[in-house]
Amino acid sequence: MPSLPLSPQKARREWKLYFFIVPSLLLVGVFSYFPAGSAIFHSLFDWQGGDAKQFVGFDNFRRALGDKVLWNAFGTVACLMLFNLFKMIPSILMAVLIHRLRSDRWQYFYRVLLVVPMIVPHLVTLFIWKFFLDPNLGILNRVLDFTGGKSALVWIDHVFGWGIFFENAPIGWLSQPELILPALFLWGFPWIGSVGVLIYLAGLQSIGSEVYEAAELDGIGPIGKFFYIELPLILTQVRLSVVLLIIGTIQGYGLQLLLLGDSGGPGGRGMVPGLWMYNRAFIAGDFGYACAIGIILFIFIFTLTVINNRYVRVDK
Amino acid sequence: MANVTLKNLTKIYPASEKNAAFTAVKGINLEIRDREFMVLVGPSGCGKSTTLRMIAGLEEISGGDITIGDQVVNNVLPKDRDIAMVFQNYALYPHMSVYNNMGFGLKLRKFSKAEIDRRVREAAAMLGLENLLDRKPKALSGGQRQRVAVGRAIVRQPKVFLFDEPLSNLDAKMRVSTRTEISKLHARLNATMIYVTHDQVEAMTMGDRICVMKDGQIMQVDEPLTLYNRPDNLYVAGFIGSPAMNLVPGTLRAESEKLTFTERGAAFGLELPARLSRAARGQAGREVILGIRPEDMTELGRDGDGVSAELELDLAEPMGAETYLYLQGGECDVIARVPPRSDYQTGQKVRLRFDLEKIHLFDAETELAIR
Repeated sequence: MPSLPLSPQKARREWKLYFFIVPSLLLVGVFSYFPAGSAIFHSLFDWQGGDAKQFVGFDNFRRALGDKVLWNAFGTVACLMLFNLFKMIPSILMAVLIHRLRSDRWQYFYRVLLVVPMIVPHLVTLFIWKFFLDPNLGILNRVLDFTGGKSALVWIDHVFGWGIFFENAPIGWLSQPELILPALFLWGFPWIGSVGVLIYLAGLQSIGSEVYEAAELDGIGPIGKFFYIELPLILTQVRLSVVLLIIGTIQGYGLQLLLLGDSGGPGGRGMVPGLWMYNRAFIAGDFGYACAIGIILFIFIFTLTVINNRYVRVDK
Repeated sequence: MANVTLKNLTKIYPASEKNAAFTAVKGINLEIRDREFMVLVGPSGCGKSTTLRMIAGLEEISGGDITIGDQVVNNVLPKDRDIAMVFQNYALYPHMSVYNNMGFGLKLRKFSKAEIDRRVREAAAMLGLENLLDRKPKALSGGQRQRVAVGRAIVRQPKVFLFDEPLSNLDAKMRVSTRTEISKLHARLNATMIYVTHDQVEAMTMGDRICVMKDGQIMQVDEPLTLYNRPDNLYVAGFIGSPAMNLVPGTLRAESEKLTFTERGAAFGLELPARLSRAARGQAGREVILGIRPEDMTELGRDGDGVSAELELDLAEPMGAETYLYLQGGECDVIARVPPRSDYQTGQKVRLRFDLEKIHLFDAETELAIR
């Protein structure tokens, strides 16, 4: 006989536990599941955000399939994803370097050093970077001027005939369409993320000291130690980072909105799907279509996460 | 294969915020012969593991020399010392298969694939791991993991094998079987092996020679039975053997040619045999400690002759093949090992005869054997 998930005895014993979960569940339901369900529902409507809406079936999705801006935005986000995957490397290296410090005190010092910037609000960091990339006042251009980097860029431009860098004009990192992707790549340099480093450090700390010693006796060098011991043993953490990064990159648009505005900067080169969804909803007032974009984004993220979980294998 | 020589080997851990400076190994001298199975044994904190780790190169030495073969290896990297080590926690690479765990050291040393394969399979056959080569360590039992760790050492064909308490994490049954396997392996490989343990049974059963350590110093180095039968000092006498040797404080008195020993609480007195009387003549009137092993006492019937001591029974522990009697008298507690019998009663008097040829005397002050 199939048993109930909760037997009467168990219910009598544990009802308090279930009772206390209810408020949280209600909140999650109201603020997460209901909006998501509502988005699915409204994606089937031509809806301007008011009371009036008209059922259009899958029209919004059909429209999205032919929406060049949206698909270009997916292209851009794919680029950003590659950038971000690359940007994981410094964090991993940093974690390994800190982990290999012999002095506990210095390890602690570096960990604190990494955690402190976390108290700076993300928005402030974004503004700092906007300032950093400013053509006239920005530090980046000043550094390039001072070090002769700009002259080198102008020279390379001259050789390849790009027509992007000019001797007399400041470099418009956020105002020249061709430079928007490079600027987004530079963003966050030297790409050491506090959370990432701490996650990798946690993984590294679970490697027993005897494993290191055995490897030392086996004749491993510092680089071999990284590739044969450390990296394979923190793959769980790396995979977690990759999943978070994919989700974050696809759905994120705060960076682009703040640096480039709601149309994705000049030529829309910085347009990403999330920003396009925002743009359609709150600039164009086309909420039904924005909902459809949201659903498409969800499908992408879900698919990528499933692939990642299934095929990026971690042997441990 | 090679001999290993430790000369004035010292390890000092410098003072830190939390701890004062600590000398873990105090200038020890030890010669481990080629192809010998040397066991370093002692309680935790005696410096045995530190000594082993210094031989391996995992711990810097603070003074003295380590020679492997003809080479002083003080400043040689661990990987270049031509040693292999088996750790207490196995220290297998969790992400690698058994095969790769064993072959990894060879791969790093740029051996050909064919050679790696040959050696790994040979070692696997020797250790009964053939069917486990594709498994990951987490899919193995403790005993299997330790065999893999041993295999990893074997494939390297090093000059010296180092074992750091390799059986401590195994259950009692596994410990016994792995112990015999390692002993057989030594006979088969004919290699120099240095084995650290805190378990004196392991030391006695495995070692060609045993080095007993205490507080960073060597107390005695000898073959197992010599260590058992002729301990140099009180510490070795008490450490080797289970149950331990009975150590009874008392005084010596000279009576004509012979010396007599009287237990401190006057529970019994003994006339020492000629051998000991001669050796301890200078100690007459002084405090000494008499040592006698539990098996060197015989229980006498009610009217047996030659009683050495009559003591009160605290507890009888039947072990099956024998019975341990916990006895008390004067100021001493004594354990006797007697043939099994079940009709003992707490508080009864037990008459014992000591095998006088097998008693030991130790100076109460220096704790050294008087012979």
